[in-house]
Amino acid sequence: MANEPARAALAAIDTLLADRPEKIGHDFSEATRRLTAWRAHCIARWRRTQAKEDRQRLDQVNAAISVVLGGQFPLGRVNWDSIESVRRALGDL
Amino acid sequence: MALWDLANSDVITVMGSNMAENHPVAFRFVTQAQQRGATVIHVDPRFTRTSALADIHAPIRSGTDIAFLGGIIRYILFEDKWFRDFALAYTNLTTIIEDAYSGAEDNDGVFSGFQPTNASYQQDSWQYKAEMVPPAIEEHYAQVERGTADRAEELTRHPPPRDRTLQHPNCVYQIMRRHYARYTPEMVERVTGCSRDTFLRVCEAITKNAGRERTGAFCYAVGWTHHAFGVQIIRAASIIQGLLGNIGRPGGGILALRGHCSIQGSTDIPTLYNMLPTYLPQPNAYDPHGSLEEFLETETVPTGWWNNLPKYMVSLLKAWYGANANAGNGFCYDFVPKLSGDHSQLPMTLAMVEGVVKGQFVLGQNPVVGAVNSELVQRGMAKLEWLVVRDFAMTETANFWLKGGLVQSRELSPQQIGTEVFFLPSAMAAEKEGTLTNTTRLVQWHDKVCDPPGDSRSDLWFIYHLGQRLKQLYADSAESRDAAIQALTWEYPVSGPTAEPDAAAVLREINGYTVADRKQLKSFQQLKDDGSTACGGWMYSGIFPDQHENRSRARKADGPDGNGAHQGWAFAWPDNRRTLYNRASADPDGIPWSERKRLIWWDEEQARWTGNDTPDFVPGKPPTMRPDWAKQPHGMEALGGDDPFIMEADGKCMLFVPSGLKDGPLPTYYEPVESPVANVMYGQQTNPAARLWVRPGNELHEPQDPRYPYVFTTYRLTELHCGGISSRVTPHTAELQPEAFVEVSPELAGELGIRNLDWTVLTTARGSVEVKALVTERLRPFMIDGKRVHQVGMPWVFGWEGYAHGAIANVLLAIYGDPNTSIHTTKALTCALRKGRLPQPEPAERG
Repeated sequence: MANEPARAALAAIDTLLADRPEKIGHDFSEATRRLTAWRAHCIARWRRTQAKEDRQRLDQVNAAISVVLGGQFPLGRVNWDSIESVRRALGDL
Repeated sequence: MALWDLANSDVITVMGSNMAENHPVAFRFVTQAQQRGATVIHVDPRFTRTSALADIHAPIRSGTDIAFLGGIIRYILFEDKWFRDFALAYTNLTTIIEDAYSGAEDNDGVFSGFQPTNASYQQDSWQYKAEMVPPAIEEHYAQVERGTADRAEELTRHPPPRDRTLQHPNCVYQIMRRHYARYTPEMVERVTGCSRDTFLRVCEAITKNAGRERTGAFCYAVGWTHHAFGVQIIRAASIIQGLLGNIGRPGGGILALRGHCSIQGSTDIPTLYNMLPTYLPQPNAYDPHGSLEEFLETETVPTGWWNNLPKYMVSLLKAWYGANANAGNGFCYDFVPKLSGDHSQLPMTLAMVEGVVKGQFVLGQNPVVGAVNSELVQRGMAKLEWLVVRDFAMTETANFWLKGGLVQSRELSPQQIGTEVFFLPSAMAAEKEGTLTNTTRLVQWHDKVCDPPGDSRSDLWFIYHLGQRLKQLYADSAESRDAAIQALTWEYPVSGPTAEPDAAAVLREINGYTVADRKQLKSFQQLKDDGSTACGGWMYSGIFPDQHENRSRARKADGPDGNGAHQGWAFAWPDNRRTLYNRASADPDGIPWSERKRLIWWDEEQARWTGNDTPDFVPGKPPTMRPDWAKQPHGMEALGGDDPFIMEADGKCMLFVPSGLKDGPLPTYYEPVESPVANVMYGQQTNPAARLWVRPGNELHEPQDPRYPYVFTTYRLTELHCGGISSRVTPHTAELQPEAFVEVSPELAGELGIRNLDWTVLTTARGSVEVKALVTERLRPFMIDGKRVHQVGMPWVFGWEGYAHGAIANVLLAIYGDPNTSIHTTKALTCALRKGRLPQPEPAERG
């Protein structure tokens, strides 16, 4: 898994979790963008390999984007528990 | 209320709309009322053709509607003009609110429960004393605190605490008196710029036409909704109508003038992300919605009509997933997408810019012209991998990559935009069959007149065949994520060489049927929660009660001797009821408030409600019925025979809203997010809960920013329809409005040295556009708290396609939203204006 887009995305989520910006908006953008770049990397890899584990990784990064985007544009309070959970899951990849 | 019921009004206030020009068909009922003696009022910043036909034109600065309406509420309360018998019986005016509640007047513009860290409200202190009131279900997305379901059960144990003497300091009446005390006529003038005398003329006209014998109506359009507090503007009108007894009665009501011919239908069977068909809540990943059982337990309101939610939800799942849905698998509830955040258009536009979104379908829309911050929209589209646009003529959205603002400014070249655009020709209305649902819930069928030319197809054709291809694509998949598409019922008969689906079959499915023998349901009262019925949208049930009876085709209007409800003309949901909450047209004993304004009444002999409309009430529930609290009643058993507002948990018109609104239980005046003046009402300048998404390319102006001194508003034109394309490509409408313009008052034109037809440049932090000036007295400067404030206005219907060209006004606008709806602001922001033209970009290098 060790690749630059993944490291950058995890670092961005770590920063997010450390800062915990409550107001909606721009603060989440960095994490969203980094995750999106990681997803692009995963898509390219999966298209190349068609390997099951690469597809699973892509699915998990995609799910992480949903959760972080839900924090960037929340319907109520930001669900930090879910973002923490996503961070843990991504760290296990 | 029905559109034609406007003719029964004694006073009509058009506000937030240029009704005569933009809704001319509906406006004929306004003129009919006027001919019968009604007073017509137009409250609007501009003097338009609606103003010209009105008896009173009250000019106000854009975005100050709540100050104006709050002033009317104060006038009603302090001058004791409210319809006492109606409001005491049918509204929550007497209800006592929690001790912990404190109003905006105590906290300089915010209510108790405000959490500055995340700009949102905790709503516990707004509740009825010792009772949690769940929101009407369509307001679900306003977030209810966890544990609400248990506390809401209190509603089944006793009636809400009330004080009919109105003396309790925390009864709604006293709270409202404190809240609106500062909305004096003098304050209204300071904030809105409307003279005190004109304002008082409006107050007098509205209040003298209320009571047993007289009724009044409000008509509004997006001039109310397109603000960061749009929902609260409409709420303010609801309070006025509740206090004056103008709900559920002939000629009374609030008419939302929808902007497109079937936009009401696309709300009912929604294209909205947060609702399932006919106003059922979309499950949320972060709420206790993990299973159907949990979802229904959390979301089912214990009292009132919405207690029927399980029947509607299970029947919807049966319609969607057919035989695959059974009690053992929660009727395939797991396949319903769960919300994880705000997925509405504005945040998703920003997500496109971030690169999150890979592709987009655009049907019946032209967002490059119609969506705010047009260049940011184009920036997002330039990041897509694919874009599908369906329209019957080339739109700015389909060729943004070739002629768009970013290309014209040389910031991007077509070669740098990787988006693959699929432009597909679509059929026009007369080239397909189907229904239109208009502003008054009236669903009308239309036949196909002729085939669409060439490869043009209906939207129904496109969605149906897309679904078929997706089902084929995933038919053999073993992935769990594809199971939802595999399970979906997608069987509609097709005919003709293009395999056009049968639109009537879709409407039959929406109406609902019995699962065992596929018999059409007569009405939503037949729906069950055990999987024996299927229904695509409960409110539409009854529209197709037999295999060959399509009530939306009905075309029998009342003659002169009819009762005026025109119940033989098409179908109004629900149950062909023309006036919602019409139980309120009779007094608590079931007797019409007056002979002149009778609509339905209790027939003692037949032991039924009867009259000139289908009763919006339990037909056999007598006025004297009272809940038996000893039995802990649920559903309609918990509402009495004198509780007309059946969709609310307590059966009352909610003047004070304890749950469901994200920015306060009472409408409160805030300045628009961008404003040239300070809020003189409160220290709180703008709506503290507004959804602001400030980021590069979407910067906002600070209040009183001297660089952007003028109020800016946008609007439509009679001659160019909606986003403009349909009429800009038609020569005889295009020539009537050949190019874009900005309306400037003679006073401002004089200050800036602008003459009629001079080129001007309008600028905001988001962008600049150049248009010719139309110097006109239709706009005049306002005196706001002693300061002269100028306002300019520009139609938003132009673009670069068609015969009528012009700058896109939405280039100037920013992306931010109302906290309840995420709707954008198009009616009140700030800008700069100068005479001259934009610098022309350097010619592109030849390659």
